[in-house]
Amino acid sequence: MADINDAGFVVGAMARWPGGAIPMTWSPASEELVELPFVGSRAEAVGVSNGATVIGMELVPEGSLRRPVFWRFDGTRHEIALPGPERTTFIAINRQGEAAGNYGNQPFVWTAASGITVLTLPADVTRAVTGSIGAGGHVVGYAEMADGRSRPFRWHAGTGFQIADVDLGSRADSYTFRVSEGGAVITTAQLNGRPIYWTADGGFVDLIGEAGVSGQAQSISADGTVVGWFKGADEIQRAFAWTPATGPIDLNTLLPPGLDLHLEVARQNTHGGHILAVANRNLILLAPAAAMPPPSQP
Amino acid sequence: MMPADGKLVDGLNAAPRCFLAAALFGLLAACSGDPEAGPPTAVSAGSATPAAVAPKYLAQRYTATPVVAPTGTTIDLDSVRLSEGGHLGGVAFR
Repeated sequence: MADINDAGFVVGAMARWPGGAIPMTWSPASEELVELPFVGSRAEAVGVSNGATVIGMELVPEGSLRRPVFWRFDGTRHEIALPGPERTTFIAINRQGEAAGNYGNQPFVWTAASGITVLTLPADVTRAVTGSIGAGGHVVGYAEMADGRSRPFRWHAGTGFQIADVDLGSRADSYTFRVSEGGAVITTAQLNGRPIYWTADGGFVDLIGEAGVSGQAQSISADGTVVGWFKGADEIQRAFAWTPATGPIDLNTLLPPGLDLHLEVARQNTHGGHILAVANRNLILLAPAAAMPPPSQP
Repeated sequence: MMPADGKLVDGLNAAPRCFLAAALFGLLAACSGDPEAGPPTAVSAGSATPAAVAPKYLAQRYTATPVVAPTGTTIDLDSVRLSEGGHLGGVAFR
């Protein structure tokens, strides 16, 4: 399972032994799994737009070369013209059909209409690695700088590369990078791991402030609400949500009274206000209960 | 626990892994299918009601609904994705 679009159209790969992985789609409308055609020994679908585009990777049989391809919802397979011999990998596609990936040491953007555009790195960046692409077409990830540090980057067609003044330490490749439709970036900074929020105008914000000793940002909705987890001085892990207006909120305090549940991580959230969380290895779906009184009222 | 207006379908036959899709107000499951076991058998529909668009603030309260794996399976938590349109997708192992 790699991705799901707004209509519930699922893409991924299904294991088949012997023989490796086969790219597939599943539609809630037809309730059918469909194998996608591919060339090579194995392949996987890694992302899906709301339109008719599925992106994926194929493993070419002779050797270990991974090749990007895309499919239409009708199941037709299309090869992608590569700009050169560098290793080329799709990372993600947004719902509008704009994809991002890595070409050697450089990110690229792609659409079915325009093909691959490799992004030129700033002079002080030696390598940039794509993490995701947002609904507004922002590509985010981390940049390895000439001074050896890793910093978050954001790229947009209108602004080019922007490098955040945040030291990610040595674990940048293990952190999540996400971006709102407006371009707000979330990731995790060094300093024991702290979730941060970055905008070009406002710089970075430590999302858990004095409330947390450590934590990670996991997801940001299109409108900029962030979710993740943090640990306080008591070392208990808690799921949080954050907006610029509220600061960090322990989601456990927003559950109905008397519910025997401890939310440890908030993994994903939507513009519609739904949050996918984990409690004791169980998935919990949180939905806004607007009719209920706020916690501060009797 | 199941959402009141959703229904769970266990589409697993002999397949080692399954794709799970759940609507916010329903729950669907579809098996990837073992090539030795024939085509996937999951056939059901929940009411995939899209989520309403909320204003830009946190809700004051949330309801909490467990996402239940098909019988005999365990959901791979890292695989699960939540869509804007109100669906969950992920992999369940048996």
